Amino acid sequence: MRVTDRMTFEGAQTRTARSREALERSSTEIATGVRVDTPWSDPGAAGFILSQTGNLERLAATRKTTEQAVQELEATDTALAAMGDALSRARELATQLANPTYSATQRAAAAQEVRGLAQSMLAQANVKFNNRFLFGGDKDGSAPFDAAGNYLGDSNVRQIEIAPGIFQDVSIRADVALKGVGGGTDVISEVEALAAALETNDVAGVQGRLAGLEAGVSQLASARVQSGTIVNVLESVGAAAMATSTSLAAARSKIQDADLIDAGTRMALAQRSLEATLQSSSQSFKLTLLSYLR
Amino acid sequence: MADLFSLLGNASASLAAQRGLSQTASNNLQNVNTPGYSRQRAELAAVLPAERVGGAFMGQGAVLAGVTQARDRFLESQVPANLASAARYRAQADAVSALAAFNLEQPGGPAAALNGYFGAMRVLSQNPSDVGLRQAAVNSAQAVGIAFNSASQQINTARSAVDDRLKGDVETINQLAQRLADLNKEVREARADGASPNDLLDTRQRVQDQLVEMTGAVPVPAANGDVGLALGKGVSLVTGDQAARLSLLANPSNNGLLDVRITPSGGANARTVDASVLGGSTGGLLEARDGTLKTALDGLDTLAFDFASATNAAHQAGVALDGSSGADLFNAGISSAGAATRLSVNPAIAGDVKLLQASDSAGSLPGNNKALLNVLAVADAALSNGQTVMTGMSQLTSSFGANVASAQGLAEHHEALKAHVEGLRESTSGVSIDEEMVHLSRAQRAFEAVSKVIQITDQMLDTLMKLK
Repeated sequence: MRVTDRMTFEGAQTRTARSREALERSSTEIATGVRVDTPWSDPGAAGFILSQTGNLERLAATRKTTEQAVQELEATDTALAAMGDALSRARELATQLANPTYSATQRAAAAQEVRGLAQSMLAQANVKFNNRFLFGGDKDGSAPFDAAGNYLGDSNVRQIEIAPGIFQDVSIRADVALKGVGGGTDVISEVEALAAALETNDVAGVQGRLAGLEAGVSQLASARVQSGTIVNVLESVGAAAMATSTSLAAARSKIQDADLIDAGTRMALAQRSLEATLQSSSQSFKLTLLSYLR
Repeated sequence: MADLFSLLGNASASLAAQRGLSQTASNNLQNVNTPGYSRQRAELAAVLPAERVGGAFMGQGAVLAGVTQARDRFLESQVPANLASAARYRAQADAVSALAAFNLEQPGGPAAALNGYFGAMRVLSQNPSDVGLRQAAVNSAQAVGIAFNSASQQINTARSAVDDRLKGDVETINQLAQRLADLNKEVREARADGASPNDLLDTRQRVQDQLVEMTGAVPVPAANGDVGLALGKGVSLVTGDQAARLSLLANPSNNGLLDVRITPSGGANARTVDASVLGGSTGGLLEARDGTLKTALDGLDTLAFDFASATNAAHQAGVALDGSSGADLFNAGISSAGAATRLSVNPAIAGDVKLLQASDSAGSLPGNNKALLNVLAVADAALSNGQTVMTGMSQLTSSFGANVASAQGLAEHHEALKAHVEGLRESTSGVSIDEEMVHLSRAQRAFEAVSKVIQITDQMLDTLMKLK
């Protein structure tokens, strides 16, 4: 084949440009650590990466949501535990003062303590977390119990989505747990009734409260179990989301991120190729008849 | 018998022939870097008829018979198609790969914004009465609008950039087409006396190559030596010394983008031509603008419209903290055309986040989140194309990437083919400095030798003159 000077120069130019492009590509890959940065770098991978990123973001949001719900349920549990303790103390006083040997004065003194317990239970029932009332159902913007112990909340239970189309309760029904709706015990009213019986030195009345207080303690314990069960579910969901995130992130990284060893090898090869191209071009430029004609 | 004076005359003519040889080599050397230049060869021939002297024919020296070009018509016929295809796909690839809207690492892109939006809504669903979380959710919804606006703006800018380039290209094509028509006429006139106007032919070839690259036209050689150019579907660009004219006209049904129109050389009515008629870089630009970029824009519009419609349907059924209901969360217009550009959050909700309709009942405010869960369900709902919004976004990105990758791949493929045939053409027609130096030296030697003939003949004449 006849080779002209233009072919020599343009060939050198093209080969050098190709070598430099390969060098630049591998060097950028190493510097950024990313293999697929544009949709056309690898169109199939680009769709997969976007899809995995969407899934990862969703899992992150699910984790955040479940963590918040767990915090709220833990606050609920703390409040229920405090109410349970108060109720247990009221039951203890009722058991003690149901004995006819106690005087009216002693019962009046106990009544004061029981009134205090009722007030503390009311305060716990109106507890707020993250600026919302925990025992109001959906009506969480205002106190669910008034001073007289009337329930102003509703019977709704909030749910969150923990997986596509799968929802999980993240609150308990306060009307059931505290007011005994559906056949249970109104725990605060029981304590208030005990206080009233003690104040009036009504021994039979005090004895009559024992069963209700016992049922209330069980009711609050059940509510705590329910709340704890939900926490367990949410923690499992969070842990599963974390595990899935790790595996999805690994799968995405495998597709999107640069294989540094491979990129390094390609960069070394491109460097060698560029050196060879420059060397051979330089040599071929020197070989001309002009150097010999005088 | 030939006398010494005729010997001097012959030598003088031969000197001129050698000078022609050296001048041609010199001309080749001076044009070694001229694009489209085909090396020329000086053809020497013995002077005819030879002189009859007795029983023998005595030669009368050498003469410059002509200067020809080293060209291979077969190779040259392979060049135009490759020139046009390489230019077409390169123009297409460059026009579409400038778009960064779908880049995976692009901050604030639609995919990232949608992920952020669904995440914020999910977090809000856990505590819908929290005004701070409401604000975050509404901000993320606004980010979705801005991301779609920005992506569609980028696509529209890329499409408009094609028009800007078309404006310059069409003017250049018109000038080149007219130049080719004029060159046909000049070549015809120059050939009238039988000589080959090599430099004019080179110029015409160069103009022809430029036009082929820009329009994808096919050269049509005529019997009289003219070169015509035909676009697709038999539309003529240049015929003999007549050239058609291209023009641009805004098309309202294509967002006011420019249609390319052609007015035939006879002055007939102008007609619109698309990428099936125009090839080369112009066709590639039209394909990029009305193909890949428009498909991406339409896809983005459809996605924005479907997403907004599905979200609004769920949101309308909800109740805001003030008890109001029935409001849209997003504004995207009444049709998908231009929806990505219009997508925005209802200004009333943007101004007061309490108007976000998260509850499904006015009686269970403010903590009810059931309407919000329905809004969130849009993430997994099949939209008009049967895909979810994120799957649609992924497919849109992949599809755009595949189109760009295909154009880039085809551009590289055709550029390699073009380089190959141009290399073959250069191998035949290109100038080699070494070769020309040899030709120059050869002419120099011959010139010296013929000069010596003159010197010796002169000495012989001198000898004769001194005879007593």
